[in-house]
Amino acid sequence: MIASNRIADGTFRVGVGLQKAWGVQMATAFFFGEAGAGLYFVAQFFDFTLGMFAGLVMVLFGKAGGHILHLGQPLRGWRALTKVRSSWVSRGLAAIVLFVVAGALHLIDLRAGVLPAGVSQLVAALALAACFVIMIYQGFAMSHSTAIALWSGGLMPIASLTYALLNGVLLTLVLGFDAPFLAERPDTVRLLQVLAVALMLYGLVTVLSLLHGARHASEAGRQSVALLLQGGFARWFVPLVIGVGFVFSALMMLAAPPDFAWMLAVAGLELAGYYAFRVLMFKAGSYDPALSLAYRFRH
Amino acid sequence: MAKWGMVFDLRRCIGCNACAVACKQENSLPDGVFFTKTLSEEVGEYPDVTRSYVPTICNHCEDAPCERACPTGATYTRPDGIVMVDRNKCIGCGTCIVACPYDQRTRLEPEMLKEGLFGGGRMTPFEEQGIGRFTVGTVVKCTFCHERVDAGQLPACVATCPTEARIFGDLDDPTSRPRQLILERRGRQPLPEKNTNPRVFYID
Amino acid sequence: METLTQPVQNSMKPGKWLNSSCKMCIHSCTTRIHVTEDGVINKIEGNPTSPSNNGRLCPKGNAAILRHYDPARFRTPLRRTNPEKGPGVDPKWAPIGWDEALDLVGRELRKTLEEDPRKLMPAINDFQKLFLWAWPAALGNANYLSSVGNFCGGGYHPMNGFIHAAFAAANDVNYCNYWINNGGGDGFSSHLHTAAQANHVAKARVERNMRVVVVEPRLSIGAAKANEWVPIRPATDRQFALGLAHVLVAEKLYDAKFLKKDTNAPYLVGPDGYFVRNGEGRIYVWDAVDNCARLWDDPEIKEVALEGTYTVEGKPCRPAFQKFKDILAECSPEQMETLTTVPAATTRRIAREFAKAAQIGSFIEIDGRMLPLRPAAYNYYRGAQGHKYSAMANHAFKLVNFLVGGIDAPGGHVGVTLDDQMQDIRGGCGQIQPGENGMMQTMPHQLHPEVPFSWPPNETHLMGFFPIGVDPGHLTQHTLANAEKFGLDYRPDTLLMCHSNPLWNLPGDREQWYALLRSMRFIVAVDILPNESNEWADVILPSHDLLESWNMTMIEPPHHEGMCLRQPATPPLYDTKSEEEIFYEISERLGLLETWNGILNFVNGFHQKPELLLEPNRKYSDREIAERKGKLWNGQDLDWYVEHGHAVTPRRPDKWYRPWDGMRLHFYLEDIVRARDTLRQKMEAADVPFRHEWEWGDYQPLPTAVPDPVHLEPADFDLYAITFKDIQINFGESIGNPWINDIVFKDPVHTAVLLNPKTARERRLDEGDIVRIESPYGSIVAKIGLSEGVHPDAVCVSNALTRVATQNTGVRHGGGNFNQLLPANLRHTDACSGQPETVAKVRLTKLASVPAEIAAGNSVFSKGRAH
Repeated sequence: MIASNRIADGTFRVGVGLQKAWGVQMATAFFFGEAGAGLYFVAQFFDFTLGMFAGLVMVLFGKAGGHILHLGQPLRGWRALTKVRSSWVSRGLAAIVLFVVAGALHLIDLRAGVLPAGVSQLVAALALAACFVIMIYQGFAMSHSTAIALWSGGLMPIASLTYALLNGVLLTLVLGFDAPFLAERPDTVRLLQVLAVALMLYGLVTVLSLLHGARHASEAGRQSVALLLQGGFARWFVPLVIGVGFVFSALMMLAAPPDFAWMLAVAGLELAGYYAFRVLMFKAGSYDPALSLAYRFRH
Repeated sequence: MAKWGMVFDLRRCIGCNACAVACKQENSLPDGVFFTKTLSEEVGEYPDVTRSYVPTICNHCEDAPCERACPTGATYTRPDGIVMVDRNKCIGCGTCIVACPYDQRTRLEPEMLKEGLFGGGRMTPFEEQGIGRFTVGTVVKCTFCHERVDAGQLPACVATCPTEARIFGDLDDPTSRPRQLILERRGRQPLPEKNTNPRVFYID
Repeated sequence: METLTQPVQNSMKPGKWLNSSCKMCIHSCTTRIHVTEDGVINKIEGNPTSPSNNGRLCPKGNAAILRHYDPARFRTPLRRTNPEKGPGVDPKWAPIGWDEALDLVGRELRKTLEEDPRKLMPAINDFQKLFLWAWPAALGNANYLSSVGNFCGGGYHPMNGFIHAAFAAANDVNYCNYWINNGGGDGFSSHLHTAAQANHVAKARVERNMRVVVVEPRLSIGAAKANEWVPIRPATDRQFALGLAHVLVAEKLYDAKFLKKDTNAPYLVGPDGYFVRNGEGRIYVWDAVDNCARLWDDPEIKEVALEGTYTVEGKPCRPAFQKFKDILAECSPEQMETLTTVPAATTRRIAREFAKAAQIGSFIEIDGRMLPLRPAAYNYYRGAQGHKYSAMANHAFKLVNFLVGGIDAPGGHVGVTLDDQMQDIRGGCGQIQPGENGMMQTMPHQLHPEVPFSWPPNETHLMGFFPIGVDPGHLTQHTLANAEKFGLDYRPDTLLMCHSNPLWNLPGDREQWYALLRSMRFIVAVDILPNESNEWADVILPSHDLLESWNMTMIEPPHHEGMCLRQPATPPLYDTKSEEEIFYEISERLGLLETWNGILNFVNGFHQKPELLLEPNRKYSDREIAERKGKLWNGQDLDWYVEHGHAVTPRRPDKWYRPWDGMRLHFYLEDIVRARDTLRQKMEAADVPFRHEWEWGDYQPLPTAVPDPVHLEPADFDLYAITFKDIQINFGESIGNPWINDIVFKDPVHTAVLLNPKTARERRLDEGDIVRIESPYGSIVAKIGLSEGVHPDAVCVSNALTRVATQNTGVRHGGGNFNQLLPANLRHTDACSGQPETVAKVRLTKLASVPAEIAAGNSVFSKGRAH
């Protein structure tokens, strides 16, 4: 109805407008950013080179590659390094560059020991720091935008960090299943499993809090949350992000036998839920009407 | 230095969108791309119902979130307050689009510049003389008709508005029409809670 | 920073500005056109030097460039090669040369004229070159397939001629403080120089707090901006006006002095409906002081009576005002509410507010002239007057203005001339002439002189039977389908169209119109873009567009006057000609050059300045005609106009306010009674077989509250379908222009057929449902959009959804033409004015999906880019 449907959907109606600028390509890049960086972050604690390498590759090709695909003018993508002082996107890119360089150096150093000790530690620390920035900056890039109530509540960086750590833990459990640091240390496995469940619960609460905050932030926030929980996106969001991504994967992890397939399944389910989260956060992001009488009348 | 701003008189606006078409004319905008548009909203229940018309445009915010979010510096603010996009620096990442609370920015997708207003890739001489100002993949938005303003003229949408619902002028000049209207009729900015300090005000 | 040195904004690029005027609707807002150094038109703006549009342009005016560069334009003369004709059928045009095309047209027209000139139906509808409308006069032919004028204003224009001796009418924005708009977009969305009027009305609203009350079934733009929207059931506007009049009279809120002195309201009316006259034909009034009858101009009269029942010359009689009061006894707001659904209390309140705002008794001095000030006015147009009893409806609205003394008063309801050049005809401002018995002469023929009665009828639309109306083109369908009954001893077989789209504009069954066009031996169309009608043509003669041609006009401006120049901004893009050239060439081939020049001299008023007269045997260019029209207006030559663009000034107060001062206006329309009786005598004398079923009741000297027959349709047609335009699609062909499409098809009121949510719920319909809208006469398909801004009895169809298949692929098709819901017959045509009913009783039937034939192609129902 002209009067009651508040999603304007490109028409000349005052209403909530869905953002279309960031879509699946950006979601994919974000996905690989927080999956790869998380993996590297966890793996470096165990000097788990395969995990570190895989994380580095995911960030380099998945994240950076996804961003390049998304750009309207990819050849001048380097320009995005120039506004580190004000732009989170710029900071993120700087972190990616630093991470890839330092991470690669650190990996080489781990294998070949080419760096002097002090420098080696510095490079490792730099890689870890840059990796940490990648794990959170996407959340800041989103929550920095006051334009989109669904994103701007302040919990987005926490969601990023939680997801990144969770992804890192699960991918480490999968990739490192046969590696000595896990295969020979069941208590480490157990610890990581407990950590995973804790992060799932923490992530669930973070996402629910994020929705709760958005719902009460503004009309656009309310519409975004309605889209995710009742509207057109609910059939994806509820079963994938909430169900598979957190609840089901947590239950499976609690009941997990020491079995590779089982670990793979849990990681797969959680990553599916996380990917859905990334895509749907973009799809459901919406702008408030610049000036709405109807909303004022109702509230 | 003047600080340009605009006032929308909601009592005057009849929602005809002559502004939108004048802008498309002046700026050679592709199909479906608008630098300004006037929206409508039905309010109330029959028979106590009315419809409001709400013009929208880039607010040329004093604290422009698009400029802060831009990773390349392509978005910048001129000394006279007009927020611009340098098409040679823009990489089309869309960060400014999601940073603008007013949904006033558009990325030029390849088909927008290829299709032509009449479709099928046929370009009229009008389009051929104008389309060159655009770079595919970059973000565009209202410039307050900066070249017209530099030449002492009104933006195209202001000049054509049949009901004179758009009032343009120097917000730093206490005697300017927009300043007086903002004072007399208690102008308010769109979405003040976003803390962007728009240079566009609504009066009703 | 921007590194380009060349400007990127179109108006700032190197080039030149030219003064011109707009023709994206029928009106003529002044413009300035920017042309680049490469000769490309890249910006059109309003000309700020004009006090009329004040440099403003509506969205259509802003979109003229894309009409100019539309790739669908006719580029050369075209000849049809596909013998099959039908809606959407590709004519398979073959380009031909101008000589060949004109020779072909000349040959075919000559053949027709030699057989029987009545077999040629001209449909010439360029409002900015009104002189072309007179071209059929060169053939002695008035058998127009009219597709303009009568649908919107069949009753409107003659009534303006009766009351103001003018073509149109407007509320005087200069002083009005209480503006009632009933079924018209004046000042907001349509009619009478829309951008200019919207400009002036917005100033009055905001700077003077002018109160606006809009009476309409739909929350239009005007209603949205109004202080008050009064929703009304469609086709009951007359009853609302009579309810207002009831209150004004019952509560004595009228301007008795005006009625007594400036109108025929005190004239005594006998039982036959005529004024009571003495042996010399002079009319009586009643002297209320001396209690005796006196002749209207008797200097002994002390006080004329407006009320009472008397006997004069042996006849019982009453003042015309009393006759109206008698009618109003049955028109209380409570009685009217049963039809209009407008609460009686609302009607009463508005009547009182209106009367109070009218400041009866107040005066204002303008240019040294003391004039009654009446800052309250009742304006109306198509939606309110487009009904079967249109003459009555128009008269009722005028009478509300009469009662407060607002006719042609500052702030009141004022007559608007069509084209001030044509001083002797068509409502030129020189036209105010004294008539009999102190009354102003009525001028109901605002578009062409009266067409004489003939039997068998020379005109298939029976214009000779409508002595005071506008050509009822829609009746052509009815009479040709019943040719024997209507005594048609010929069958038109040739159609000449010029900027005309009768298949889109005319009401009635589409299939019958298609059959009519199929039966044509030869069709020629002068036009710019393909449309529903010219795709049936055998020959297309492509004309210049508004950016390639010369013209000089000021068409139907409410508050201003003075010629506006149109000049070519570029050489013609294609192998086109001006309309002037085309009609000269055809005239020459028909041996009519001398006659045509004579007609042009007359209709353009060139005979007023003999040095401007066209020579009999010369052909003149559009430039030469334009120059003469400019010289006629103010003596200035074309160079002056090229420099200044226009000669627009505010209307001179002496011509604008009460130009008839000293004469009496027609409160009571005896002329209508006389027209009825004269026609009846002619039909009796000619033994016209259908004279007994002629709608004689339509001729009323005063309006009554009798419901229009549309309300009497079978009860299962339980809703009223109306159609509407807004400013983006005001007047004619806008859909197909990419910029107009870009704004119209994003506007929720133009993308679905609007229904009140409560009405929808009762019928188990919901947003987005596909329905068939069916009237007793035809059906269309629509997608439902629910809106609280709709009267519960109304189904509102945007004009943007009414286009049907054409060769112009830019035009998006709706669910069928609204006009096919309407009847094209005598029962629903006002016998007094020729106005057809424009509201249809309908029922809605839910469909599972959009029928394939409607969803096909470039439909508004299809998804994605469609233009």
